[in-house]
Amino acid sequence: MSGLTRRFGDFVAVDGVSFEIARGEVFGLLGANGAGKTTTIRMLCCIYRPSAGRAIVLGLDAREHPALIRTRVGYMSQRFSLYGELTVEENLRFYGDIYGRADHQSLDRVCSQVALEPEHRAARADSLPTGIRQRAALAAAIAHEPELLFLDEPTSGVDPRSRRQFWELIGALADAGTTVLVTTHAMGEAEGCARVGMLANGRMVAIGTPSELVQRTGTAIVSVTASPWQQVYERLANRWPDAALYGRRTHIATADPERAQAEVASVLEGLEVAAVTVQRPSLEDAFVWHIGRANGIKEPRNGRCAPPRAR
Amino acid sequence: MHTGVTSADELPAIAARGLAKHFGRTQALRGIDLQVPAGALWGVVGADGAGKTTLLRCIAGLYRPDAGSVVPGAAGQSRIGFAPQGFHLYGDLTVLENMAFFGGLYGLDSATIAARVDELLSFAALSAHRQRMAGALSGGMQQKLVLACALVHRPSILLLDEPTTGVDPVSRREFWRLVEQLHAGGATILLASAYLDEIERCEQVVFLHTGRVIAAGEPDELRGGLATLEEAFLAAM
Repeated sequence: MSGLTRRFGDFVAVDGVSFEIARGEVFGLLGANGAGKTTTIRMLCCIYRPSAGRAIVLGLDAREHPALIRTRVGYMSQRFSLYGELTVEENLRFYGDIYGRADHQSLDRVCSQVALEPEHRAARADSLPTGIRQRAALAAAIAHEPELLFLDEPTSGVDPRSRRQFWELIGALADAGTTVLVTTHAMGEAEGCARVGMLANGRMVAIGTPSELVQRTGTAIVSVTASPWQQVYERLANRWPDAALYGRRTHIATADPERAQAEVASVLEGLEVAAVTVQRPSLEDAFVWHIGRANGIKEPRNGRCAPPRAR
Repeated sequence: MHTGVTSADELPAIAARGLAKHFGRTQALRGIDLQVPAGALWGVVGADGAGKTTLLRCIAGLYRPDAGSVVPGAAGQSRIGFAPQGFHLYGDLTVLENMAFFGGLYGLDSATIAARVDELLSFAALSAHRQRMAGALSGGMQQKLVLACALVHRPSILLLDEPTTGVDPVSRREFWRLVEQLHAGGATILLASAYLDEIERCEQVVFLHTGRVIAAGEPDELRGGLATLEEAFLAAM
């Protein structure tokens, strides 16, 4: 897509976004709430018309062939879009009817694909645990064997085991040739995408493989273990306002880890320093860095709070 | 910031012994033993239905255990700040009105409430939004407001139930900044989460599965030789 833009009244939700996704790729779209992720997806599924710019989906222009595109893409929206008072079977039949794929064979195939058991299919959708409901929603989105699948925060509120299972399903679909565009807030998941795009205020601010995006920050994390940890954190936070506490370790993001290590030693003079190590930033560190740079501001600063009263 | 923790706090701030709780035929907790020292930051991780919320509610005294004991429980509610899962705010009240409401529940007088609200709104970087309807705030801001409401009576123990679910990474980091400051300030914090990468920020982590503690320890310890805490969690299950 190139220069894709969508306005709602005066509000520009998506502002000249251009990127390409290869067939069979798992592409992660990251961004804060309100950054434009859902609007971008809805333009690509031809639910919203772009205000400006051009989207080519599966080789078809989204302006000219919206109906055709809709039959070839699958969309799983936030909150899983199932009818809670219907059974999973009834939900799948309903979605299948829309695409003319409500026959037994299609339903059985898709249910075995996402590991839905007969008792799950017979249960009311809202009576099922989140992880199973999520797989049922995925089944509804892929029953018509779409070539391109849009997943909008599919794993929000899902536990780690179900999340892992879900990503295995996504991997299998991609291996079979399905292109997947997924949005998520969980950076651990985004690490599993082939490429990642970071949106802020409707603009694409960074795009690349997860390791490229981490590298591009040009920063490293210096992790300090020393005691007493409260004093360590306080001293380091005075020198590096963005210092963050991880358990009893303090992390500092820096472009010059060697110099920072030397400075840490002098800042912590008199305290017992057990270890100072240098780590690669996480994708979350990189995300915060890229978004912060795009906004031209540092993270919003919180104030201070009085300690709790003594017991 | 000094810790405010005195030597009298050698006793665990949170303790459960053989804690069990069932709902009808569902056994939510099957004998939990847990001792969280004063001033510690601990995390609880588990799948849906593992018992995280039930455990926090028993500690907060909202549920009475069927068996075993729990401290502080109902007797210690004035010392507990509880931030429940989801956004438990009055969407059609302003930020200020929400905070005043919670302050009132704890029996604080209006002068105390006003002072605490000012301090907490500045702590949570919400001062500019004090007159906005809570329902109109972004998810990240609502989550910070939930935390601020839980702090209005200056609790020494803070229970946070999945506070960052559905919150974007920048807001999540901002939220953790608040948590780490409270931790450095000496509060005892028990946090439930489904995100294993953020649970690594806790000093000790408890893996909960079908109402039982299946592993507990420092993140490094639990990880063992595995690459991530998530691998360790899935292996423990």
